[in-house]
Amino acid sequence: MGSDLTNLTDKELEILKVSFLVQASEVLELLSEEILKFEKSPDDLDSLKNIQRYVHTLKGDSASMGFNTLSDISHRLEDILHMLREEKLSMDRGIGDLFFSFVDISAQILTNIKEGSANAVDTGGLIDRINKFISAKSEHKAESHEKKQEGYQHLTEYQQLQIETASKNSLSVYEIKIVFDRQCRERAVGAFMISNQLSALGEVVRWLPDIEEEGIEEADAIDAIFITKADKEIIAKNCRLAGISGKVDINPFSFKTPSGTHSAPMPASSERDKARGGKAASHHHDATLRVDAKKVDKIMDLVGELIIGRSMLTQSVLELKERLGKDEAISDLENINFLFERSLTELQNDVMTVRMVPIEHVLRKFPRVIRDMSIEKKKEVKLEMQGAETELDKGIVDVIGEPLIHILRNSIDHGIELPDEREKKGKERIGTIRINSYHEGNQIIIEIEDDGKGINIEKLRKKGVEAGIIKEEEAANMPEEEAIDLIFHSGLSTADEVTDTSGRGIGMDAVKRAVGDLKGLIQVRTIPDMGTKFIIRLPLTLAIIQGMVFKSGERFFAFPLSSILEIRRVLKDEISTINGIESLKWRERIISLIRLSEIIKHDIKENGLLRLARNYAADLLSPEQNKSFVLIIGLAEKRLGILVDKLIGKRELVIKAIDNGSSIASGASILGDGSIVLVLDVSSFIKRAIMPAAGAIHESVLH
Amino acid sequence: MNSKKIKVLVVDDSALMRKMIPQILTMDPNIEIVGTAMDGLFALKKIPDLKPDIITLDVDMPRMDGLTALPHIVKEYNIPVLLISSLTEKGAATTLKGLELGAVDFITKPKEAISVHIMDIANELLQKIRAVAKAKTSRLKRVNNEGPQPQIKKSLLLSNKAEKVVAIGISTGGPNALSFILPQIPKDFPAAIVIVQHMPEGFTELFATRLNQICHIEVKEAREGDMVLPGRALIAPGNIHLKIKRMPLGGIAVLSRSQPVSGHRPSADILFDSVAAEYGNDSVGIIMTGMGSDGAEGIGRIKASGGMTIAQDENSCIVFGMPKAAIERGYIDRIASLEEMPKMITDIFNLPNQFAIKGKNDVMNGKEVLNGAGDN
Repeated sequence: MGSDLTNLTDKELEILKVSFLVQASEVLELLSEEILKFEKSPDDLDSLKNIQRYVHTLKGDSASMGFNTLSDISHRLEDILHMLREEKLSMDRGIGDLFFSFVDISAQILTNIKEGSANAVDTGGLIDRINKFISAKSEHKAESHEKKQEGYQHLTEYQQLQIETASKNSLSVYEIKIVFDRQCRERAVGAFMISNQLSALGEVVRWLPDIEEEGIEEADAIDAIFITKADKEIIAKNCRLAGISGKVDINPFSFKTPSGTHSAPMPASSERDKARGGKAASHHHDATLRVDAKKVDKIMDLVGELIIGRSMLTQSVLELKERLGKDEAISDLENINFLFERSLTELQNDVMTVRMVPIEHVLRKFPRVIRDMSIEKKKEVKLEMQGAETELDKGIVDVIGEPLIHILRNSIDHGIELPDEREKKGKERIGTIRINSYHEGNQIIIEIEDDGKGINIEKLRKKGVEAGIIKEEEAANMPEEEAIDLIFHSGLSTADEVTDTSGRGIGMDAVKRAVGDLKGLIQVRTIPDMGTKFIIRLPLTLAIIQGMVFKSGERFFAFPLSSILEIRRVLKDEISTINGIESLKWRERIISLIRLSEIIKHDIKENGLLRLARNYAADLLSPEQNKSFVLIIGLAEKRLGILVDKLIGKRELVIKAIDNGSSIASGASILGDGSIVLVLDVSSFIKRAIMPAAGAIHESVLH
Repeated sequence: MNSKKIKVLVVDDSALMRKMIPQILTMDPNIEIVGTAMDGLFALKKIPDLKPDIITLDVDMPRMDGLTALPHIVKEYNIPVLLISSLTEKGAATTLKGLELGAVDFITKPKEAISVHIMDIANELLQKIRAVAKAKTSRLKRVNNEGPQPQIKKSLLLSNKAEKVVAIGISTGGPNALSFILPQIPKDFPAAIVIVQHMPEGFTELFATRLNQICHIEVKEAREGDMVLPGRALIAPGNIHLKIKRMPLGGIAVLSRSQPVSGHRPSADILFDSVAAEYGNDSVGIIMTGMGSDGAEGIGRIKASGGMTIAQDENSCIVFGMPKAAIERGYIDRIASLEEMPKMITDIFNLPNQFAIKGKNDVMNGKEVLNGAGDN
């Protein structure tokens, strides 16, 4: 049958190797987490079991792949784990350190394997330390074990039988110890001669060490158990051979007397302490570092300052150059500035990644929510997740969890139908909720999609009217896309009955607010009987944003890119005035237009904002608005058009907080040439233009 | 041969193993991987859809481990299971437990690099899969001797040295077969039993300990110089050859780490040879379920030296390899099913004259062989 077998090809081995590396790195990560957990609660048996399982997997897989160094150290570590399990060892800092150096060394081995590096990783130190832990703890046990090995147990059953039989037949049993004469070179021969002498007098039950084994040449003495009728003196005489044997000891054999002590002393405790305390211990915390999030924020702030500082430096260099012309010192300065910029960009990226965590941290709770909810609602729901590894800023992760869960509950409660109902519609009995997250530019997109019954838009319109949010004729004319957004209104729910989880109409309102606070955007798509999809767009980080910078008057402004839906040119005759408000038809809906200069003017008057920009006040106050770009901004369901004078373009903006109570700016940033950009806050901006009755902002503008 | 492919479900929590095992198995075009599962729960969920013919089951998994899943698989689906276990003390214990719970056989995860030993492991895995796929699960009713037997330490002074020896060579399917036979051997059984069961190091001691708990006779892993005694069964330790030798005060076990014979260490051929040489017509050789042909030549020497020889029948073998090899060579006096085996063994010694004349008169006669199975 062997003929149909082929060896694995190199390619197949390579594929196995890759999947090994992936799995092994994952295991190491999980292991680190679990070790930390175990360190905190050493009584947690599950944690220990997990550690054991991870190490076991690592051992098995690496052995299978032929990476013996890794499997060897895993094997050794298992000994320690076993002792912990048996409570022969208790978890302490030293063992924690040991675990982490295991993780580090293993990671190093994996890296070497990955890079095909031939450098052997030195595992000797680690193994020594493991051994010391083991020997230290088993010292006591080993001793008692050794004693048991002596005497009776040392003899085979047949030897015991020989001795017992001899005693019964009134033969004497002696233990004979013969020390070799120092002159004796050929000890095997010497032992053989002694053995011959004794055989004439009786029977040797056993020799220790075995005189037929090679080790005899190194032995200083041999030890025999001897059955004989002869007395001690005759035996002694026969044992004494000139040049071969030195001292001879003959004693009656007893099962209880140990025939000799061979125990080697265990390493002294001082040695152990040295290993624990010294250099070795200082290396172990390299793997992970837990830092207070505030410290990272502080560093982020400082990086922001540095970026601004460098922008200014660039500007100064340019000015100097203009003034002094070509100058060696200036071109040096330029070079230095360039280096500075490069390192700074790198620094900024690195600091940002420190704050990034996978969205998985939030999504982890979802399976449980679904499980509980589907039991409660008697629905069958399965969850499909994609892109759980997508990273975003920790600040966002902390806030976005609740809103997402709310959407999830909504989808189960209102979206997914009861199994029977689904069957009638020809759908699978089990509903599916799909969560997909991914990066798009500098945004993260989170989609939550169900294959339920969709949102009943007609019902929504009716409710909107009933709740007094919209007028009846408005409702009738409202495009679907706009009507769907009614679900984000507080005090509105399409659910016929209010349930524990949803239907009170407060939830979606909160979702909208949360997303807005994060400078994000939420959209809803629904198709009757096909399902509903919520799309949430969030900036990757709050500290540095992608902004669209534009000019209005002589001032620079910016909106976060994530809140901008569209930028378009607008012709004058496209703008119509409804109820005295300039409006624009956009994607089948009418949106209000705001002239930035006007709202800023008002804001300055009211709040004394823009102290920084006082010099430009004159420009700001003189409206100029004919050349028209319009930015369509959105927050949750709301849309607003902003007329601007000149688009500058996309910029990465380091946000500096402004604490003067401004209602429309969320922060300021500084451009490379040192000019200041006001980053506008979409939510407060839109708040002033509460749709569809844009009168509010109109009034304030006219004020 | 059957053209239908053997459908295999691979259950293992290691992604590597889930890749490696299918890769090895699909070397055989007659084997089809119908799916993989990462733990027992997933496996149980997938079985009704995938309808595998055989399941390879890792014993150590998160959520639901192999031992928990095993009874469900055996009871609810009656699908033969090949355990995949590790070569550790703990692995041995769980593996033996798994065999008790109805797994047909086991294989240990490769200890050495697959790139080097791929052929050995691949061959072993493929052969076991083929063998296990054919196996009928849990055919045996386990003999339950109600708790551990009080073990009376026999005084070595009572010169009850064994004048008769029963030697058993057994491999795949052996643990269950021996767990069926040995508990039915009475305490006053007049002969010594010596056994070679192909098993890795570390497994045999536990196996012996377990058997000792359910048997009337004493069962132990053989140590150097252990006495060959009536009412005692010695099992060759994994990775060590077992021979027996007659000494003035009785027979003893002699262990050696000499080269593997017939591809095995311990080898049944080695044991049988020593039994034939030392006990001659006071011996009975039994060759039972297992792959390959280890023991076939040795049992021939038992027969030639006047001992009686028995082979397990094809129907009750998990793998009809070793008995077949011995039967084909004409070395077998009697054939018995597993169910008949305990009675046949004990009856031999209840009818001393039959035992005594065996071998001298019936040798080389194929008639016994042909009719043997139904005789008793």
